[in-house]
Amino acid sequence: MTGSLSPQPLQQAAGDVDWSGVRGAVRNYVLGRTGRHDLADDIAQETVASLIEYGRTHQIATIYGLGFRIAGKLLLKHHRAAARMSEDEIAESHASNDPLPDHMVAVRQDVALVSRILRRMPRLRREVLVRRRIRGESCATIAQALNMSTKAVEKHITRGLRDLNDALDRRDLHE
Amino acid sequence: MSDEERIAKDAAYWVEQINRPAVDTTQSARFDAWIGVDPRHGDAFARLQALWDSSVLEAALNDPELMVDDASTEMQVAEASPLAPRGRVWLLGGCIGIAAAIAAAVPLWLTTGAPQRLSTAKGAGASFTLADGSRVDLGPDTEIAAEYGVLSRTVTLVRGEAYFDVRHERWRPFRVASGANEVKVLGTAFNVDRQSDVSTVVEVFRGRVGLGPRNGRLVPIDKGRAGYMDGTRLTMSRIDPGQHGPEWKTGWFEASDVPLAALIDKLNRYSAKPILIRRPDLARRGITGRFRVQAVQDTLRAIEAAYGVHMRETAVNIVLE
Repeated sequence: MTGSLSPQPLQQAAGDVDWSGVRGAVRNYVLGRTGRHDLADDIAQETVASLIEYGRTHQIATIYGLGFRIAGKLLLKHHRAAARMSEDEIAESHASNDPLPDHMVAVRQDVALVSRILRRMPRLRREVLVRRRIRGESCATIAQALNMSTKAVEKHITRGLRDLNDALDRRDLHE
Repeated sequence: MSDEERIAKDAAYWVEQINRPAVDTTQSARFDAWIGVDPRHGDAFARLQALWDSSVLEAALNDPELMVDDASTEMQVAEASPLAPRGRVWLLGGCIGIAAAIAAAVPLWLTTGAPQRLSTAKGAGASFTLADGSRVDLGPDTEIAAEYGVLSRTVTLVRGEAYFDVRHERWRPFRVASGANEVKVLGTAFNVDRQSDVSTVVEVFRGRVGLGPRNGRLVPIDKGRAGYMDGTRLTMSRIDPGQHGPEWKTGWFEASDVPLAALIDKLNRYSAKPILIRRPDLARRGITGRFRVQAVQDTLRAIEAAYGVHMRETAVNIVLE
């Protein structure tokens, strides 16, 4: 059973939320970024607590979307504390560029692998990925700049992501 | 297509959608519905989102060698070719399928995501309340575009100067884009003056903001301080402790060795006729003083007297030489 996109009510009562599902998905996200089970458990727990608290005073349009965002921020906070960097909450765009310290060696190998996969992609797809991920341009802006449809931009991004993911999966299998 | 392939494809679609600067509420609800249907959906999304957010992908995409093609490209293409047509067909079919399902269910007005545009005419400012309850006071001849997403609040200062009193939201930062510069906050009160495409002055009256180049490193500026970004250079200064709001609200401009062009820019927000500076060296000349910019003629006469500038008024403009 996949791809179900049946209409759903926009507002969900907090009681209806499958919190264990949210916790599990966030846990996998942190695990995917750090490879650390203890950290994944802690952050998943804190994320769910934050979501519940936030939901008391705000209407949340996407619980999962916000959950992943909160987890990303918490991970950054942990990373910063671990690295004893400045407590500056603002300079996160810089801090997030630094790989997690316990992952340095793996990260270096990954960058080489990811670079290789990227360079095998069509030039246009690389260009789309850089504009979207690094420069934060919208699909509409990219479409206009590269003279293609926004649908084509979306396809370059989703296809690029899948190619990267497949290649990393194959690497994991052979390890 | 196997279940796994379809899940991976849907997950990639959702990573692309959810990471947009603005995601409408219907699409957000649909995302939660999709992820809740099958535990494998959340897992697949988590994996792809982790990849998208990873410092690894960021580093690889920032590599200057990225646009140099891999020498082994041809060999790889040859290996992959028996599968390529099939892969392309499902990608196309799948995307259209999802797009059609969404198009059928989403009211059009929700899909546009057009930013809210606010502007003022020369000579007069105005106050507005934004969608999140934040307040913005626009200076004269000022224009902003506000774009609100589920996970972000972005205001573009198209031209002019604006004072923001931002409602605190822990998980939804508020950004002001001013040409090549960017200000980021969670909740605070500050003034942003877009002086040119590359230079911006920010004064902070409550809390703390980050200022820097767009998508670059932001430097914190605390309450009572001002930051002046010019290109990639940031200069910090203190604002008068007795000052509780931006000067433009009182119609004054305090200059401490700022280029004449910056003062003329301010005057142009009040002047009916555009004021032009003929010579570049004059535009760069540093000026110091407190000027009542609302009184355009008085200020111009003061500049004339103090800096030996000649003013010539024509039917259509005022020229400084």
